[in-house]
Amino acid sequence: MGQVKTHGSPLWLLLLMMSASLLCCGTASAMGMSFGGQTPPTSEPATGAALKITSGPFSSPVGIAPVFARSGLSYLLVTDAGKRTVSKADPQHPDNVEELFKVDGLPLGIAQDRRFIYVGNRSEGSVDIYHGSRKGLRMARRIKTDEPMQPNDIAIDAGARQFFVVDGAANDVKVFTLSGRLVRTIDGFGDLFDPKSVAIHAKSRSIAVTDAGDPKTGMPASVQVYDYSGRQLLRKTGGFSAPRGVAVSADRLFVADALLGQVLVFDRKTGEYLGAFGSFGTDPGQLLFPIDVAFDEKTEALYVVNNRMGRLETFAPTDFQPAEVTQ
Amino acid sequence: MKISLFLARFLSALPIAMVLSSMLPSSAIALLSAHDCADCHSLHGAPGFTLLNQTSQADLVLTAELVCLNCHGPSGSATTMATVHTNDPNDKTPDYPTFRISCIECHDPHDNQDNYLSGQNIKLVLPQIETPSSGLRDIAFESRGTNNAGELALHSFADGDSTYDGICEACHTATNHHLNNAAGDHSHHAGETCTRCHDHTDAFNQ
Repeated sequence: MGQVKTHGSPLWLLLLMMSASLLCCGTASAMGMSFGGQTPPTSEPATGAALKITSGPFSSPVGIAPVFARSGLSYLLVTDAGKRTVSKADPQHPDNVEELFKVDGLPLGIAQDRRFIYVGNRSEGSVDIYHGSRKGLRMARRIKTDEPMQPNDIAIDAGARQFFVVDGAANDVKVFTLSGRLVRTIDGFGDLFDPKSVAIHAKSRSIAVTDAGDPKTGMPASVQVYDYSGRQLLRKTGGFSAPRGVAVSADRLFVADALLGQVLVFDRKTGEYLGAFGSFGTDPGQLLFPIDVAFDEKTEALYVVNNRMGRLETFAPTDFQPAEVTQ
Repeated sequence: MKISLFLARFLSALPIAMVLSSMLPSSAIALLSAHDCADCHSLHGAPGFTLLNQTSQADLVLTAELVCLNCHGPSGSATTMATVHTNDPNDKTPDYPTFRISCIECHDPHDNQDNYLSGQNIKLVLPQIETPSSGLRDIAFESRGTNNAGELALHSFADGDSTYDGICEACHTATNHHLNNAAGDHSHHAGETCTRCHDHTDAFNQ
């Protein structure tokens, strides 16, 4: 067993060590595992106030997928690992939720193209494809690979007829044709340690991937951008505690950090930190374990899966806190 | 300046672990081999108290829950999955009042501890639990009940005896089986592995 022993260091040694930490702070701060040596871009933590979890319409919401019609965002699909369901939420009233179907297993990531809904099923290690019929939505197909996947998130580029699955078991991104044939694996050439989420930017044929890093080996959490062939375009570390869901717009990356309780915003091309949405807490509009995000480019509304509160939160552009305020 | 240089040279020669250990709280305790300090704590830049990689300074139970579920939750990297113990989220007319038991109310995330029988609890289960309505209770959780050979292994979830020190029965006062007193039925799959049906990933609901 790994052990952290109790130490009763002499006072003089303790003082020396404290001096050392001051002298060496430039080096030592780089040892911060999860934050990559940077101060996290979080607002002042709440102190004193008791946090109370109130139940929302979901039990343990995990994945979110925006579904667009010609007129704009039509609805949001949400997986619920607690209820083991897929539900449909009204973007105007996110607490207005309609349960669509039960999942035979633990649902994680979700995406939809015109005809089908793709659901990551952790229990089965598969991606399950549902389609509508007279009897309602039914599973049409189950896509499996040689080894069971942990399908943390799914993104679809219907135009390219491909979908992307973040596989937390193999620690890679798998690229499938819409018919379910595995065509490529993006492993980041060793830069993916614990990938959590994927989002596509179809116009530039690129994907954004969040990665929790590996605290045991000191590999920092990151958000990375790849082109469809798997060539890395960006790797941004620092400032994260537990990056999870990611969404992209024409110019920005939105990363939900589950432990900071914020959605961090970065320039999509340079990775520059721009600011954040939300703050840690249990009050309305605050975030307690946010684990996925969706962005509506037309209205600039940001939808956040607030897991521990069992809710979806909606942020308007005016809720954005620029970097100079949050850092 | 000379003193600073001396200190820097002297300290750079010290083993890093020695420096780190002296800076850690003196109450640091043994750690389960599957866990690593850095899974939950950051020595530098941690936003939360006790150097946790988490923002809250307000509520240890809830703070720990987030850190636990970061790995053991739905899309976490741990192979052992879990969620908190609540009413069945799919039950629209629950039999029990609303309750919510979080991770560290049953587990110590650091290591297994000795119980009141001088055995050692497994699965990081605490040797004593402050129950919602029955005060502080001793817990003996040395096995997961029926083993693979079908043999009963005592000191598990609910042995069906009259000690009521199993991790499941210690709190229960309103369930159909295995209350924490002599009342009711104590024969329901006594000594077996409760979580085979009442899964930890389903909040212990069936």
